[in-house]
Amino acid sequence: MTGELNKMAAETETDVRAGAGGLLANLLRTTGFCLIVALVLVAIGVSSFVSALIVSLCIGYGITGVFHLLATPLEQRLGPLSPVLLIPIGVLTGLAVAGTIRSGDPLALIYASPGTLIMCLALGVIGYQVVGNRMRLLNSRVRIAELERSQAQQRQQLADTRLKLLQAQIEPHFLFNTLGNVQSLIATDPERAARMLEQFTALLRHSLARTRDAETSLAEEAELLRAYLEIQAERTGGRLSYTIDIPAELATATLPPLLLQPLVENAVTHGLEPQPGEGLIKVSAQRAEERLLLSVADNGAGLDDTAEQPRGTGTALRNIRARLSERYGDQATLRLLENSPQGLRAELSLPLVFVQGSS
Amino acid sequence: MRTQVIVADDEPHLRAHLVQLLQTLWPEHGPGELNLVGEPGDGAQALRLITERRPAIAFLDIRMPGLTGLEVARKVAMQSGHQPLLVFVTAYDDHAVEAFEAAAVDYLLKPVNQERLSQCLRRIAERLDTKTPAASDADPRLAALLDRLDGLELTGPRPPLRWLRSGQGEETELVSTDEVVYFQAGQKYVSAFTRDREHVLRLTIKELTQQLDPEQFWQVHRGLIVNVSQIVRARRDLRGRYVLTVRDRTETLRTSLAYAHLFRSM
Repeated sequence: MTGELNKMAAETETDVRAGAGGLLANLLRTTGFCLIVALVLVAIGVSSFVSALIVSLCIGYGITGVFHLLATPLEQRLGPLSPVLLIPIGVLTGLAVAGTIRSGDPLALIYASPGTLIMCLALGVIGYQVVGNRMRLLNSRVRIAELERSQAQQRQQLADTRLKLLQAQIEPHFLFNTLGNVQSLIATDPERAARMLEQFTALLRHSLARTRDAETSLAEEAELLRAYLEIQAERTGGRLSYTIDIPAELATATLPPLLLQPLVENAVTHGLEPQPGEGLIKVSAQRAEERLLLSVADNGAGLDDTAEQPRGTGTALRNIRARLSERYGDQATLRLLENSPQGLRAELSLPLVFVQGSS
Repeated sequence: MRTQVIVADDEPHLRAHLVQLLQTLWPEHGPGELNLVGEPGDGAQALRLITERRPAIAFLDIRMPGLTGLEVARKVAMQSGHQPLLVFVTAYDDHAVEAFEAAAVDYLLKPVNQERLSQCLRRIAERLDTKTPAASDADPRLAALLDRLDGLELTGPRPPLRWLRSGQGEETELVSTDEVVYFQAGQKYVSAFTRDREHVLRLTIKELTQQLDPEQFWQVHRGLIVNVSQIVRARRDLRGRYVLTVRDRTETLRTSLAYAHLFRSM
């Protein structure tokens, strides 16, 4: 994340330099424009070439310079009105400089020809069109860079929040409903209550012990999922059933912790819980050469754009993708597919690595 | 006097537990004699039972399949006829829980404890005392309140498209719009480009523009829609069009003149 911020800061700097390059290009463009103006003035017999060129160059540079130096601070105070002030300042500065060059008196030209002044103002308006566009473009680039930076900060905060959520892991509805179930069962079926509490304890222990960096084995992950799904099956009075199919040879395959559980949780809370009737969750692992393929499928509600449920699904998926790319780069993928005849299927593909000391 | 009651919860153990507690506590705290007329396991059943059996009191779990407890309450309030006193039951102190209180006689947190349930029953008894059950017709205020609580998504404008269906062979993959950097119309199909892949969609560019969130996605060309949050840089070329650099993709995107105004005002 810091790397990304640095990169962004560097990009902003490049933009500022591009701004300086923009000034040079502007000066060149102004020079060309002034040359044409001088030639036109000579052609219509208003003035000699040299004096026309000096005057028009001074005015052109004056406007460009004034815009470059004052546009940003003035625009902040005056907004769109700023060119009205900037153009006369540029023209007057240019005329004063030209007057000084020609006769040593900065005010000579300004007094001499009010007609020139008006013409210069008109030229200034045309020149503004060119310069102003440049300025606006520069501004929009700086604004995009700013937007980027604030987005990056937001992403960082989001990542922190998610990490905390991940560590906490146990969703409050699940927690209290499970406790409620245990409480209900104590009087009527103490054995069941005890079993449920056992599973819940196992789940808590696993979840809380886990850190972001630790690796886990597929067998261990399957135990966790079994505890979770057992509790869910009990809670729903058998409305929910599940299968976990992991070949023995993949028991010692490694994977990051809390990768499968959010997918299973999604399948239960967004796929099966909102839907009346029975639901089935299938968790399976497969080997494809040097890759580990994991799948979590449900026959639940699927994604309905009008419903509230996709929100949670989206967050969990983003979360998992972010962690996958952090750990595996481009080597891991997560896809969400429509399951037939109904429901969703999440498919994970990871490089196959076994726990050290086994094959 | 027999007081008709239904208890709705999709989790059988929790439902049985609440029923059992009611049976224990009712004689001392509840109004009249408890007459349990239904124990529905989902929202639709609960609604049907309320309409058919016209209970004086309904305990409604909030998270239920089919219809949530709130949806059941809203439908009951909107239908003229019978309005039972409502008690919401929820596992977790949801953000809306205080608001439920205004629309219901009471709300209970699971696991329900005896003392709290006794208090709830006394409150119900008081309410039934001051108001005869026959007079408790559908309350338009209640309907309005529940509408505000729960019906926002249902009655508001259609929410923007969040999932795209992408077809490759027999499989239909679901792609979140947040992941999409830009959409581009080809000869026959529209493609959605994410960080590292291209997804072929079964939608036209026109359908897309109508359904996407206009704040997040801008059409910048007849055949090009870009995710604004993915734009890194917009540069104007000599003809007044903009060249966009986007995150995580090497290609640049060109706007057409007709859409250049989007960037000029930035």
